[in-house]
Amino acid sequence: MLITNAWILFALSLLASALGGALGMASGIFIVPLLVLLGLDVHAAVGAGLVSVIACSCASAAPFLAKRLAHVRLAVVLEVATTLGALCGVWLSGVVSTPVLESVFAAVLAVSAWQMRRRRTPPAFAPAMTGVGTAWVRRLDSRYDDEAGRSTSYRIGRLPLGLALMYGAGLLSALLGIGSGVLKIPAMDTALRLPIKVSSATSNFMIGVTAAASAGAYALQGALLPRLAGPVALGSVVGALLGARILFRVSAEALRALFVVVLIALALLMSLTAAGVITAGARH
Amino acid sequence: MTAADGGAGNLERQLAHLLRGGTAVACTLVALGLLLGSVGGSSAHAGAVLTTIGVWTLIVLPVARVAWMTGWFAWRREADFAAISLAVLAILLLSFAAGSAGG
Repeated sequence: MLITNAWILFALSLLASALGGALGMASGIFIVPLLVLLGLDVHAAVGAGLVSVIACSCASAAPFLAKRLAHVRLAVVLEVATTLGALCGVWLSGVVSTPVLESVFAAVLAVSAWQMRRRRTPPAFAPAMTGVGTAWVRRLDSRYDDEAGRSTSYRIGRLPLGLALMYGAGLLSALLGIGSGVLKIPAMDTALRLPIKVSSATSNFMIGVTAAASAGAYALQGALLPRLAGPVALGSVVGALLGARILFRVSAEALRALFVVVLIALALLMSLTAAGVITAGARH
Repeated sequence: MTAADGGAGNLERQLAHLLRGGTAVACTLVALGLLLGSVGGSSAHAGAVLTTIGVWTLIVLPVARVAWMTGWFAWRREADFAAISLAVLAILLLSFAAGSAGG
């Protein structure tokens, strides 16, 4: 089945984005496998996924910026690594075969399911660092206001490790058309020791720039098709806005359990597609 | 006082306006493109053009955000952050150049 109807793409993206947004995930991780399973070539699906990531990042950044939860200076530092990773990912995408790409996607889906089941825990306060560049890194220490209006200070942890993980996140984003939360979450929580709210907001702020690096390259190569990416992006924005309003009433635990099941099912289907057991219809 | 406290949220406010406005424009163009496309005939071509412009607006929006940050940091004489955001801008443009070269 070849999906070319714009309204079907819009509806699918809206659903995926509304569900993904409820747990703070970019919708690309659901949209790309869905498009592949519905018969789209994985490279075209990745292009559409990247535009949806940009749309969701830009649409939802304003409230995080207004509350000063997104750390813009840290974001621009980390974006050096993510955009470099994306640049390498663009180059690799021309080398990696479709079955390998589908296999990597299946692995990322499985790790995401494991991460979601494990839940995020508040990171410990970063210990004082010594060494070259420490004084400059301390300039990135900041604070944010919690729900009660109290100002909470935080300091940045191991920046070099964070940059290395961010490079990997950028690479995965360009290869798979996703926001790469699978690497950004450990980078923000474990390496940089950011408070969860700050890491979510900063990550959301950054993913648009990372995705733009590869989306622009794919578009100029002709691998990104606006007639597919347009409805996917529009559906993602509407879904993200609706999801935040509607789905907060659903139990977070029930939603988390549902997502783990969906991610595992998509991982299995992508593995079978990569192995050639499932033929995903006529390829675009 | 940390570096992030400088500017009292001015940069964040400006970026929020830029991203909100840009996304609204892009989504409007894509939505109009889809509506025209569903009419068919000669409108379908106009719809495809509008959708393409909308998608490109979305792709360029984060680049515009980084460019704005570069200018803001330069204006505030924060040379280190201006240089870092300029580096991000350069990598973005390099990526686009790699795409147009077909590599």
